[in-house]
Amino acid sequence: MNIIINSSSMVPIYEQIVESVKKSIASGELKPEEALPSVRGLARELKISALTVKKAYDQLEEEGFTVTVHGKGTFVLSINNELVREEQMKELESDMQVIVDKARRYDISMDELKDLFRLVAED
Amino acid sequence: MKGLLLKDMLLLKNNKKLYAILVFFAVMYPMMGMGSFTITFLGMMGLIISISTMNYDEFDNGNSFLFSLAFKRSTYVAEKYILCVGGGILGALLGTLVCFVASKVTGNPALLEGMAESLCVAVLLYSLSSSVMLPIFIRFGAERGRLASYLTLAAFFLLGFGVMNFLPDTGKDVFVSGLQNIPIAGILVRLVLLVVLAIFVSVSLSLRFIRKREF
Amino acid sequence: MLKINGLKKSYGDFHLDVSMEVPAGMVVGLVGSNGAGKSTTIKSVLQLIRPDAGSILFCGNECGAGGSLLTKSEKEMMGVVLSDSGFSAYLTPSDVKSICAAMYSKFDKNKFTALCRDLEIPERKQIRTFSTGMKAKLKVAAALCHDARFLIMDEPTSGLDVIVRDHVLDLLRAYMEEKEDRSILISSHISSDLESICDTLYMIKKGRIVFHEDTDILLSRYGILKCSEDQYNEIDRQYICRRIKESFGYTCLTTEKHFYMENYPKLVIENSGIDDLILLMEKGENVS
Repeated sequence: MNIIINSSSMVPIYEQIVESVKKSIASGELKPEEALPSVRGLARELKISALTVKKAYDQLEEEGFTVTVHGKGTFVLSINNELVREEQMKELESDMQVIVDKARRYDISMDELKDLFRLVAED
Repeated sequence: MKGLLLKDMLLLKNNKKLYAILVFFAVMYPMMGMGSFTITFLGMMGLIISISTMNYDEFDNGNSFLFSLAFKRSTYVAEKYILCVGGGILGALLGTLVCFVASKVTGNPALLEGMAESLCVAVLLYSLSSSVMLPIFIRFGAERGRLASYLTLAAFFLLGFGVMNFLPDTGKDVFVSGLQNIPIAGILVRLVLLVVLAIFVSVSLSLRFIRKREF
Repeated sequence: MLKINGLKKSYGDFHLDVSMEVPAGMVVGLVGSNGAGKSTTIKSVLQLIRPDAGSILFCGNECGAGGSLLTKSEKEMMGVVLSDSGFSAYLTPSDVKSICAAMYSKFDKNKFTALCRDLEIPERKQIRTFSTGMKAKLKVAAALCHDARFLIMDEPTSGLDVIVRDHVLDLLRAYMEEKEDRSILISSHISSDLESICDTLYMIKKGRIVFHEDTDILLSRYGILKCSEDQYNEIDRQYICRRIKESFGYTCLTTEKHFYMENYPKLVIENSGIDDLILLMEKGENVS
């Protein structure tokens, strides 16, 4: 599993890890029952705090992607890609909600917003 | 204690030049017929070299790190006493041995004169000196304690040497006849007890000082 | 592993008063300018100096004011690196190996030899011939070879170039990876080093702890705002804790950068690091 962290990004590192793992699971790179690296091991690789990794692993477990067995490690749960997709769609939906709210705040109409969206999507 | 002794031995082995000079004198003095001087001299050098390990410890703020290592402070004190008293005794014994060998080699019986007395004086003297110097060094550190204690040591040395050689014969006779009223063994026993007491007091002081010391 | 409570020590005008904790399995960083009290704290834990008051619990044993002296076996549990003190300059690494083997029951001679080779430390040359960097490497090597449960390190990477620093930090990470209950207390001026290994950070200023936060939160939630005077007056300042007056207005430290990112998209917002934190805590002023 290759996780690449962008330390300049405004996205918190633990979130980047969560995303990266989810992507690997969705793509099949990480197979069910496969073990994720140990918390300290991944922290060493990425040169970050172990607490950050733990936060990411906790979130993955909370969202149902992995399970942590005390003393043994963290393992990928058998999961179908649909759930992952669903997760991702949920995320995009909430992102979009933020944009829509902002547009409303700035008094930008929904049509203008749709035009803007098309512009950005074509980039 | 093993670690501390090892450390001091490894540090002292660097003084090769000094040891060469000592060997030179250790050979020269007996050749010049100065037997008892050799014994007192080597005994003193043994003590000085041993106590110089405290200078090494202190050098470049080394004590801070040293005392964070895994040994008890009381062990440090014990090790220094063993080193210094042992160093003095070893030096004196070495001096005695050199005298003995030199007397056989040069055929000079004068070298054997006063050998036993010198040895005894040296051992007692340098044990006493250690008892005085070590608490000072431990309390004030090697640098500050050094001057005070070297002066003390020089005084003791002169005293010892002077007692052995420079008392006018008449004075010596009076001293000796006076001493003859007390059996030699008795004097010896009293002196040994005095030194043992001194060491005991000294160790207690040193232990108290080291426990309070900050690095 | 280590719990410091109300540790007090005074030197003339300087008064130390700290409380902090190093839980088992964690790497705790200590930052602060020179003379702030880092070394005093570390020396108090090592019992090199005696505190005026306060409690220091090491593995459950009281070692602070009025407590007991650390036993030999407790000291064997510690691996120590001090910034201004080390093994005698007239010893060689080979000597250090023998001495440590005699002093620490769990000292691993082979590991030390391998580590010296790895760090390119010549085994048979006297320490006084070493550069600052080489001396620092040796100190770290010696501390890592006796299975210490607690590493206490005062500026272990100072004097080292970037490549060697990276290497040493990796050794420390590997050390943490080997056993679950090991801990490290590390003080440093090199913020990037701390950011890449510490789980929690404490900042000391004039003898007091002025900041305590998980590294993760400092890096992910805290942020730096740069704004003009006008912008500053307009925005909601409830999440701003420190600010410095600049020529362009203010540089601010916020505990919730996402709040400002979402509500003030025009505002210049950057990720914050330990350096920013130190500057703002040292030179800035509080924003109530």
